[in-house]
Amino acid sequence: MTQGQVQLVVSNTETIPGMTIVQSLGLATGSTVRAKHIGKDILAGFKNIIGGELKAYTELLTEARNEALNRMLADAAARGANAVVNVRFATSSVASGASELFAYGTAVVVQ
Amino acid sequence: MAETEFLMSDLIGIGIAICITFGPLAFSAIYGTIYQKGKRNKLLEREKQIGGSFKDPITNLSKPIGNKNILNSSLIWESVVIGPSWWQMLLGWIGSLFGGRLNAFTDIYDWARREALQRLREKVISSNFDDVINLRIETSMMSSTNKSKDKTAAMEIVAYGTAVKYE
Repeated sequence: MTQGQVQLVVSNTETIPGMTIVQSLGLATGSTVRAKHIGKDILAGFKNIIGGELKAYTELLTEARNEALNRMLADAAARGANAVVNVRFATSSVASGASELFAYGTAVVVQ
Repeated sequence: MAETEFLMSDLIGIGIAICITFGPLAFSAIYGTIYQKGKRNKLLEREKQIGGSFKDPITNLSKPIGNKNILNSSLIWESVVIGPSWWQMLLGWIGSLFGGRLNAFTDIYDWARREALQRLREKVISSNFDDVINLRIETSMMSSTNKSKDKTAAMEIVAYGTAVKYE
């Protein structure tokens, strides 16, 4: 996974396999709030009649989660980290139709 | 003659009213069941190809099994948003009056989770990694609040882990 010029190693394990952590630089976070698109919402409403996957929402949340992840990576890169470990995702619905996607992890320097 | 015509138009009116009221629900019950069954069968076929009974690349252990040297690793994730049909929601509502098992919801949410995991397996294979370790599954509701008119009920499932490549 890349962010700008810096190549960051991202993992949700406590260590990067095959590398050692030399310095911890604190928590790196990134979040984004996305609302449902009204046109997609109507289509999803129709799709909801027969049930199954709502592709419009899957795409929306994928895009939003990528953005949250990129913001977390930018935060980590700004701290001078070259890796982020123990990454976790969290989602919460802020209001009807809007959800907040949150990614957090520990920014570290690895060798 | 005039009387019978009046009756006829009355019957047509009632028929249209019934169609508008119960039509979508009947459509949901019949077509929704067929559609979901088809999708589920496709998932079963995909599960047979990768993972399934023999070699599943996904574990939720924090280290890979055995003394394997890891070449490189990366965060990997896949998500899916799945909602029950109106018919299933009605069944669920009726079921929740009596309590106990809600088979309609059990089925669809089990399917959603398996779909997310299967997508992760396919992504691991296509992005040239060997295994996924430290798998986590996160669930969140996308359904609206009680006051809203929006009837959409959906659950988002994200499965994420660390993809590893062995030497």
